[in-house]
Amino acid sequence: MATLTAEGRVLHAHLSGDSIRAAQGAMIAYAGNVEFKNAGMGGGGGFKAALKQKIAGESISLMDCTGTGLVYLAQDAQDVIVIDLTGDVLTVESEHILAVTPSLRLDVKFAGLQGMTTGQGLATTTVSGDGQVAVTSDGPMIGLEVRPGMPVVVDPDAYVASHGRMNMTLVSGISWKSLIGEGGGEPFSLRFEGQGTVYIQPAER
Amino acid sequence: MLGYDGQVAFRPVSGLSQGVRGAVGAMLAGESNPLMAAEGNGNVLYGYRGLRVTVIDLAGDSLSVEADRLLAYDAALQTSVEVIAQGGIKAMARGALTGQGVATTRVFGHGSVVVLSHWRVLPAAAQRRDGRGRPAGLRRPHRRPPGRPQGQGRVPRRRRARLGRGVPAPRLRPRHGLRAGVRAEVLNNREDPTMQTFNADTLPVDDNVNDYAFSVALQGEWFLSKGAMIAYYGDVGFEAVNTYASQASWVAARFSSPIYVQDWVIAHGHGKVVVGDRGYNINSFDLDDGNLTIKAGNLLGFDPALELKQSIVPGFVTLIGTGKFLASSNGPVIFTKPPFRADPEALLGWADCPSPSHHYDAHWMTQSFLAGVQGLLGRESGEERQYDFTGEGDILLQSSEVVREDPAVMRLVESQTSLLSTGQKGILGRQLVAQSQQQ
Repeated sequence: MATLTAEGRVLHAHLSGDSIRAAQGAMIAYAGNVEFKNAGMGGGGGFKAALKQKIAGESISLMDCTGTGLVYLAQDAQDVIVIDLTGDVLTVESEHILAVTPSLRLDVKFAGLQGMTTGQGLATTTVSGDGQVAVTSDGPMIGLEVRPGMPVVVDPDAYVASHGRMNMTLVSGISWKSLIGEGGGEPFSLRFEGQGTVYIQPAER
Repeated sequence: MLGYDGQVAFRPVSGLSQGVRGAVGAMLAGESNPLMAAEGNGNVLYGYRGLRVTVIDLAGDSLSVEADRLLAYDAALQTSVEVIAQGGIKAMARGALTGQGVATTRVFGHGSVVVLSHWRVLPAAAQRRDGRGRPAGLRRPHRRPPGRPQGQGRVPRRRRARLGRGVPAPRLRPRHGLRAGVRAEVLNNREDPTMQTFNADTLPVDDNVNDYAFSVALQGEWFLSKGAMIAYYGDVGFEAVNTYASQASWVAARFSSPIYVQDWVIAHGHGKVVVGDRGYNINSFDLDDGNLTIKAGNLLGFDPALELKQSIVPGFVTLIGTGKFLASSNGPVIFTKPPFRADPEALLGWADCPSPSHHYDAHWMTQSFLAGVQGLLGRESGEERQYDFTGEGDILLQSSEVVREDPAVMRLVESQTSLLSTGQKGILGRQLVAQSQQQ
């Protein structure tokens, strides 16, 4: 059973005759007998996933790492954490996915309007099932808890991932004052209400 | 070079110092790295883009290192360029694909080499079987605070309490003003910061969330740089400074810099605001009836108890009064004392000391006739222009020579062109066009 462990900015993937999917070009070193090949269309999700991604602009290029050994993965010296999923769904910006264990399913969720303003495309990627997903962030990630009556507002450029039952709305800072060039400086923000956790990074994309 | 004290001169070093063969080898291999030599007596601080630094001691053995990861080395050491692709065309193509050229730089002899890395150097990748983690000679850099020069002529200084230390947990941070930037009580292991989850109640009160994020407990107003907010809980609004003047003119009046006013907002209300900036280190400082001048692009927020004014030095702003402010730095902040000369790009700010003057180090040009000709032809060591500090106070440096584009500097320079005559404006315009085409 392939396991992922994060050590600061490097992800260690222990393979024992099985495979993981990782972001293309993220391998920095490996030991043992490991083969790397393109995961194919739609990050291994098949034709339908590829089509969906094409429409959504939520591109993700993954490679299959198969074999026995230890693979070191890293991306742009970004911090890495491993999130264990047990049947729940994690919504994550596709560029922050470093690696997933094979039992997880990647899908594209159309997020509607707010994607347009963040420049992140119209959709976000969802990861679901039982397994591990390694998520990268520019600086250590911060989890922000959301409870009923305690909503959180985040900068779309700092948003990385979220999970739980939450309602995401777009907060616009635009008022008539913005029209004459004196806006509040945070033109769009994402507001999360409900129950769950929002993960942000201490840097704007 | 970030800065230095004592008597130090810098001069450019060309590949020619390794002989014609070395220069040709470096050129062919694409493994070139403009170097400069520092000579004299004193302490020189080096850093690059906030990257990690590892010192490797060589005792007659050699080290292969990528040229762009080489920060500094002992002049007693020799370097050569080594072509690694020796397996013919195929290997050469493979080498070229790494984007690092087909060569590395080899350093050999007796002395120290300083290499850069984004994170700590990982000798583990080779999976040594004898259990020893580090290769021979690899050691961590000295942790000696760089601010204490061993140079001569140091005057005993009065105790400055002007730049106060950050709250809370002041006892943990014995040094003036400098916040460790991390909540040592929470994150004991700086190497591997683990992710933490917070909510509106558990977010720290006016303290760092981690090295790179800070949580402001908002009760009323705070000045924030536009885009510094990355998340917030509670009932918080963001308003342009000028717009807010209609509600509370005294708050807006604390901000007296027409050039920077459009880059700032007032956050008002009640809640917790998380502040971050490009993943840079965030430090909080408490100013106690003092003044501090800081690079405008690195100032992220301040208490309206402080007053902001524009500094005489372009691109800097001055904070006056008593209160807290937040600043970002690429890598941890380095504190030093005058007399000191700082690289303009690495300079973060200064407190309580007089404004710096320019120092032009062109000493190397006078050393020989050939060097003089090279100087006339525009050759530079890259360190000619320095800020010279004298007097009493604190100087803040960051380990970065990368400057964020500050839109206000352009506005500032533009506003001063009104001093020029029409003819001078034309000359300046042509020079600017030529400069922008060169880059």
